[in-house]
Amino acid sequence: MNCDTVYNLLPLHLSGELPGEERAALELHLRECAPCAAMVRAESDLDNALRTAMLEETPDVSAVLGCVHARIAAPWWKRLPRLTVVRAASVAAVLALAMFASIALPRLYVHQSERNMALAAASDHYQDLVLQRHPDWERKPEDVARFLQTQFPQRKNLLSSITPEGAALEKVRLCNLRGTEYAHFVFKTGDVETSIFLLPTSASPEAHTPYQAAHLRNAEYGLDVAGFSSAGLTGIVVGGHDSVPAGQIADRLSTTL
Amino acid sequence: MGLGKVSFFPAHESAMAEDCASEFESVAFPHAAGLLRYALRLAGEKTRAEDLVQETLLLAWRNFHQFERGTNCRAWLFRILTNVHYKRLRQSGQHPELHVEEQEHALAAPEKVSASQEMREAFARLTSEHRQVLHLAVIEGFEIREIAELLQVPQGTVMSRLSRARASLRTALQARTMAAEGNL
Repeated sequence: MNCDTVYNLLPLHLSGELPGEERAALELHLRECAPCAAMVRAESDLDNALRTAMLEETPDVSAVLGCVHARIAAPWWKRLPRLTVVRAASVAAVLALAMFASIALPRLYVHQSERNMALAAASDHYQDLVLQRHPDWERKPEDVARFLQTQFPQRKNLLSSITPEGAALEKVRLCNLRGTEYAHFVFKTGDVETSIFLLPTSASPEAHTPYQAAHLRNAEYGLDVAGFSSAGLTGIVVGGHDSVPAGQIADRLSTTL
Repeated sequence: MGLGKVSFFPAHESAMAEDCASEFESVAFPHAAGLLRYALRLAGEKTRAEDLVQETLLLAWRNFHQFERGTNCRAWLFRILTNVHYKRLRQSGQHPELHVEEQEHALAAPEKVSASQEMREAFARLTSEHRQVLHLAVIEGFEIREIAELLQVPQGTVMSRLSRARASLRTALQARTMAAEGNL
């Protein structure tokens, strides 16, 4: 083996992929050729220094994984991308749908970010109430009071303000919606469960998403989602579309909170 | 009616989907940090990089039924991320190439920094093609063959790119050192 061959095989040698025979020949050459040995050592050192420098900074993937988990955990989310098929539908069908939407659903979500947040809330609601994935709920009155004091220190009568008519608080926990922590309240009226997500007042101002009271209805899967914002709070209401007037609740909260 | 499984789908579908999601998360999520590191190199900016990783994982999830169990999930995910990145570049009409010579002004006033910081700065001044191949080989530890598959180029091309990338990195480091010495 000569010096040119060593140079050509260097990438394979450094990545440890050189087959046994060639590796032996290369190592033999390195023992006899000081310039080649120095070159290999220098390249190896360069690789090590680069690897060390780059791995010093570990990126935080928790927000990304939280979003992806929220999208895939509930099986119906994976069908959402297929909505792109709608784009290929006939112009007439799209126009008809748009006309229907403009008449029947005047406050349909128009911004993708709002839609994504609403879907994340619906996903969390689904995971909590149907799959029962989360064990970290506060249920006892004293624990709930402590939670409210921590997350909403400026809101003394928050719980009574947000409780839907005839319902009672069942539990509350902090959840992560697309990288932002929300307080997830679950209220029960008989068997009917309503989720209200509130952005804690302790959250940074940039975390607030400026919602208008807006609705996202997905009759196929039985959910109605409504976002709202008041002067001091941002939130999302989720419930079964045939049992929870999410839109009405959101409208009320947007004016009373 | 409460929000029981009845109001969503039959219980068996829900259970199967949950199993599949759990399996996907167990094989794909461990590679997320590496994907984000690679995406940061490609996209250059955190929000776009996170978006790139998110789209990659969701795309992988939608195509998980095509993934052959027991094969290299990491290489599969990196290939998807690379493809998504290229697709976005094509759609935006961007050209990622930026050569060392075009950034000479960056050497004007080097500050005193650690060796690792110097290395990161030198690395950042390489062309995107060189950064990409070095990142995959040295930082993520992919084999030449795997990189060739990822980038859809012959193995010989990967090897020559790697050699040139290492030479460029060395040149960039030396140029920075010389500029620092000239500044003393």
